[in-house]
Amino acid sequence: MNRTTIIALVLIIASVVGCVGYSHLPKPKDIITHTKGAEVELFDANEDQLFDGELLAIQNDTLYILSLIADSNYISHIGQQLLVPNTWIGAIPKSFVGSMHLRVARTANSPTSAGIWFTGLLASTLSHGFYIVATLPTTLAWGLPTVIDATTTAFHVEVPEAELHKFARFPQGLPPGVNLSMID
Amino acid sequence: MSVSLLQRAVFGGLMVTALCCTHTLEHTFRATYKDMNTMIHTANPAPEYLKVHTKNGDVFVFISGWNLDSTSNQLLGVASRFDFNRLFVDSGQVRISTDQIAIIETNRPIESLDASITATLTSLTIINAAVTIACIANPKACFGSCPTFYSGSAANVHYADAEGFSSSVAPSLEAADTDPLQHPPMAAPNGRLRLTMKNEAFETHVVNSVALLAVPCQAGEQIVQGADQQFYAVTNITPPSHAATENPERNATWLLGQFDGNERTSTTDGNNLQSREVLTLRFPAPAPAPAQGFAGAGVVIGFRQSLLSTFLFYTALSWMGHSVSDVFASIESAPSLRRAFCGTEDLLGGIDCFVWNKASQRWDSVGSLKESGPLARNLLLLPIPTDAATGDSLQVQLRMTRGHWRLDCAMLASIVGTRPPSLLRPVEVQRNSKPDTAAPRQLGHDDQQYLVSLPGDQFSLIFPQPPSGGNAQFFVRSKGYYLEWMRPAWNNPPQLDKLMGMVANNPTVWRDLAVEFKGMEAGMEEVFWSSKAIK
Repeated sequence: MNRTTIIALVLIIASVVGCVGYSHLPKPKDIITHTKGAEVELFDANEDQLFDGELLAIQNDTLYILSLIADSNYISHIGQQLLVPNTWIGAIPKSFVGSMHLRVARTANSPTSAGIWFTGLLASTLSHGFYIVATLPTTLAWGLPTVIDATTTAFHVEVPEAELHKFARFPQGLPPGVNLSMID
Repeated sequence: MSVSLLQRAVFGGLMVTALCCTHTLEHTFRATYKDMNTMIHTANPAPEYLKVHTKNGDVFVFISGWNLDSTSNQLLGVASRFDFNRLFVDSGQVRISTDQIAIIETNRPIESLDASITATLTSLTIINAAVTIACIANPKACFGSCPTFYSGSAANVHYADAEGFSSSVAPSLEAADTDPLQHPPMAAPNGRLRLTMKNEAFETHVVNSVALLAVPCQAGEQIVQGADQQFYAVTNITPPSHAATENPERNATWLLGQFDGNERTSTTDGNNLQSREVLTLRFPAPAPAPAQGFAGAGVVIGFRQSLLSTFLFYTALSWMGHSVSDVFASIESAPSLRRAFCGTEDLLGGIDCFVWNKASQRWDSVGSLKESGPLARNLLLLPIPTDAATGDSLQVQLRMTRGHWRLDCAMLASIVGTRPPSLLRPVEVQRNSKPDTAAPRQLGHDDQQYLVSLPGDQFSLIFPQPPSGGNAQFFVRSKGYYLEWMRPAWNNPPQLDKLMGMVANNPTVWRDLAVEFKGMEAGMEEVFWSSKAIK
């Protein structure tokens, strides 16, 4: 792989960094106005992933979760058995859940700007001639972890089971009269 | 809400790269209350922002305050309303009856990682900008210059073994250049020799010929190229016993005693770039080489240019501005103008060498050394008259422009004789690791066939085994010219009056140049030479 290929690859990765990673979650500054539920990732007692998606509601000891990916191949085998018919919503009994991760927001307010900024820094090393052998690794070693960490990570919350409902789209429970098949 | 599988895959990979840093928040930034009374009596202070979830699944978001009308049991304020799919419905003044409220949610603002990201990227930006500015100010320090040759394992321009035709910046200035190779060429299969030639600059190199010169030598001898283009076998290479200028400076004797990369430098005169200095050297009288005979003595100087000539060349290009092609066309077609431009380099001059004539009590000139280029080190010999080398000591003076030359060594040697070189032409060439069948023909002879190389090109030149066998020292001779690529920073309105002032040795223009160069001299040196600069 020659130098040009490596640089092109790095630039592509850098620009992707700013675009992906919990883009469905709100930015920190938007947390006060965000109206959807947090992302919850459920695991069974064997720590195998059970289901993940937006926490819709908790009702009758059941977690209602809207899958982030409308693809049955993605949803685990156990999770598929628990899908509400004609929806991508899993109705997961609490007793099935061994552990969970709850993510409420991205960690940066301007992840795309950070990605573009970092991409610009990488591109600027092309103007360093022979010194690129020092400045490119320095920029990568110092900047990439920071930018990846800031643009692709999310704030996790550890919450007692009794208060889990407050991170749901419907913290009051499923509203009567709302047809689950109409939720997306 | 859906996210593509591809995004998931990329994201997963990046997460692994990020070593899965976890950032955790206290869940207490969010609270829910069953009704308004509970919230009012529990939350302290009263929350500014509210999300009011109604029994039908809608949510109202209050971000600019709210009021509770206890008389009518209504919540008042400006809010945005979202349906159960969280699609925006409307916004404006609302009145929500408390019996419609299912639950109330409050949130405190959370702190992002923006500050740490900004701090890190700002630090990197400062570093990168500093290097970029340094490279713009002095492109050759970063991008090299002319064809560079590598005979050893080094691949960094700072360790180039030779550089070709540095002063040939236009077709009419095509010239040949011979440089010693700091390392013997690498062995290739079948006893052949390999040399690497690179284009490491933003230049187009037009190479007429490249030849390897193998000069036979006996044990104990060293071959040094003379200023007269002959190759001398020398022995008894002696360092100076003393070296000093007329101005107080650190004793440079130890720097000049070996051709080892430790260089004696000086700085320019801040008001006059043509200001000269005199370095006086004292040697013990040269001893005859007992076995091989004695054909005289010579002063061996290891040297290369500082970045002063590079600065002047780039300044001239920037002054040509967008008329650069017109100026170069004029240089090509008008010999008098060409001579004038070439004469600019003569204003700075070479390293003029003198020996002390005891009989007539004066300094006699023995010649001048000059070789363009700030990269590869040159090693040249100037024979000195036999009568000057008699007695118990020999004094030599080197007169040169301040800050223009870097001296690696200045030594006295006994000349055994001259040695004719074997001329080896390339028999096989690889361009960027692929065979180039036309290149051996293009590089083989000084003719009208040229090899054109662009930035980034790298050539592996294979030469036949020297016919003489035995010990040999190698030199590379290249002929051609190069065309400097214009850079955006130079694409300005031309300042031809300044350019002509430079060429005509206008005192005002040269004084301004001296001031400008003095301001950046230390920085340029630091960028280019780092620890090698010794003042």
